[in-house]
Amino acid sequence: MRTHGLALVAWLDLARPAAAWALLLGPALLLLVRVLARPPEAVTGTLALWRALPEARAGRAGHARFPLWALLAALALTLGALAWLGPRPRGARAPRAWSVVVDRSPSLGLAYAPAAPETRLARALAAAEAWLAGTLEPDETVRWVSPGRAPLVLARGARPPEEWLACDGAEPDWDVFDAPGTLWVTDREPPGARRAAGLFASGGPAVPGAIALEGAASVWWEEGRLALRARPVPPAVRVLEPAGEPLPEVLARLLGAWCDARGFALVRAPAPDELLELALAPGPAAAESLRFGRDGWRATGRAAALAPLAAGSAGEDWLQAVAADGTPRVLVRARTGRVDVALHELGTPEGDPAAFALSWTRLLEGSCRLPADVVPLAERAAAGEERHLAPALPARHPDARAALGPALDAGLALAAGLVAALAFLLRARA
Amino acid sequence: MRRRAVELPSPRVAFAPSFRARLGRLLALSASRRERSEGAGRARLAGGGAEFLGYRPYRYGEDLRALDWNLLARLGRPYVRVSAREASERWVVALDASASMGVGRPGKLQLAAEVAVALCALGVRERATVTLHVHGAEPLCVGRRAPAVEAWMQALTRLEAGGAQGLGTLAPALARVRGGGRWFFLGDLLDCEPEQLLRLSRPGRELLLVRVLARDEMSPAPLGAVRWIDAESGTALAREASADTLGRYERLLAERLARWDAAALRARALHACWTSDTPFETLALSLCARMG
Repeated sequence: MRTHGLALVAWLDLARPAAAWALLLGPALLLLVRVLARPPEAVTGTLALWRALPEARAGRAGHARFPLWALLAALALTLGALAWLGPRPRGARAPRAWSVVVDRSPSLGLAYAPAAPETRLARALAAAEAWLAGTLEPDETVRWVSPGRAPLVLARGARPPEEWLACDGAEPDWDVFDAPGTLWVTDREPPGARRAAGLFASGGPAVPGAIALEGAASVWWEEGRLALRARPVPPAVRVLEPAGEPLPEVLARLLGAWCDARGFALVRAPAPDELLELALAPGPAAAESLRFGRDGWRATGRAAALAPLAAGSAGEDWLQAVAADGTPRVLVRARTGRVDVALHELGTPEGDPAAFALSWTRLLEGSCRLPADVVPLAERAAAGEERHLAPALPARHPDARAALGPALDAGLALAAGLVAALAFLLRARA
Repeated sequence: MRRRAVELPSPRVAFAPSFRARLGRLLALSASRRERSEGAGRARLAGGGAEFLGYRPYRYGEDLRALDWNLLARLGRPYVRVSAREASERWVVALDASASMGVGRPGKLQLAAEVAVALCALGVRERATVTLHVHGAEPLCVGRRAPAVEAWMQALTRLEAGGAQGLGTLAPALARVRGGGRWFFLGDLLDCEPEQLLRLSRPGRELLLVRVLARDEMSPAPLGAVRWIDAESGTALAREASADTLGRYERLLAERLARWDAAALRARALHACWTSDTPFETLALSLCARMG
């Protein structure tokens, strides 16, 4: 239940503040009683005799200034006024659910404008945060969501860390997040109808730059024209090998040939523009010889154990085998920017050698990440006008304390009635 | 305490339509009582001025017992004995019309006025000259004949209780009034001391001090806290009318009345106190019994 009331004090709201005048009824009654209870006047010729007697006090000792029935009647009026006002504990209002869905696709990492230093994401995010600051209540929180990132629940005014906001992800499935209290942070308005979610789109003009890699060069797009531009340094593929454990020779030869053909540098130390890490799982390799294969080739070999994939982590188990005891063994795992290889021994592949090479190069090509400066053409296109659309406000979930409102009003009214009855009885007996 | 204009409960005199009938019955009753007392051999000629002075011719309708039968036998014509009381008796009625007489329901002035009229009627019947004094030595009314009663009623109807001049203030002026075998003081006697009135006593003069108090002055009701307003000055006083306080009030009043009783006794005067709701007949008959 939502109380459209007045915040009277820090801990109290009033459901019907217009009834505040009723609180004056109790004091007014006492004032009336006091006026009417003034001592009577009597004209006399024996004032000299009265003067010889002790003076009357305002009230007899031990007795209240007001009669008890009048105090009870005033209390009854005050209780009734409180029932009419409808006091509610401030905490009775349940907090609302808010969400911010962040588009971390590469276009959000582009500059908003040639002369502006901020990115499209920063601009859209600032607008969304400003709206949240003016709408959220102090005790409400925000759930930050983005594909490829663990959700974060943050207090009002807090922002996820920069690494969480890195624009290396994919565009969210907006339909899944179309609900009241949800803000979409992106650079352009997504297609399709938007029912309840809010939109904070930065917009922005097209941003020229590299849209693809061509060996050691970049394909540069500007003003509708394409050009090849040499890169300062060739992109690199880094091999991570545990001490004393080299990559199987077959794989090493294949990797070297692929890098040469693509113009990538094959390195074993950190390098700028790393497109891929190929890591050999640390050993030792199990004694069991495994048989495995895919895409038209088969081979045997021995492998170390690969650590299990963390829950929610991106990645694909590209090559697997079944051990003699029936347990599955993951031999190659791949994700964007990294390939983990558990094979410490790899025999000569059986079947068409081309099939083996094609299979592995597809893996390598598909796992490569783009350099940060290479953004696909679709991402570099203009994002349209800046748009800020507020979402539908979320409903408050029913709260046990909010349900107390009508009961509290009824209780106050009942108390007022009981006190009034008692006052009537006392007055009748007076 | 503060001074203020006081609205008196009963400042004026109004004679009820039944007053004349009641007065007639009073006169008849007092006459029959007197006849019984005199017929029993207790005729009192004493009481101030009862000296035998002579004879006069009998007038038609007079009491035959007043005839001097010896003279009738000797002269063959009826004559009646004339005493000093009958010949020259004068009654002085001093009426307090100060503001305090407007207190009470019925008001004290109302009862005092009714008693004054009754005294006028009684005195006239006794062939006394009755003078009514309210403001000074000059009488407001003089009654010698029966029609004077009506004149007294009209004069008293025009009276209104007010001012602070009561019998105590009137007494020095009354000292200039000569004669008067019976002097009646009708008021609440709250503004004076006994000596102020009793000094008017003379040989052959009987003083009757008739105190009239309102019921609330004689026995106030337990009202709790009350603001008492003085009828004449308007000063106000807050006093508790509780059981304890009322007891002390009544003791103070009783002491005051006892002091007046003792002073009157020493001066061979009468002091009696009635409440203003007393029927005037009761008071008048009591005075008649005193007078004999």
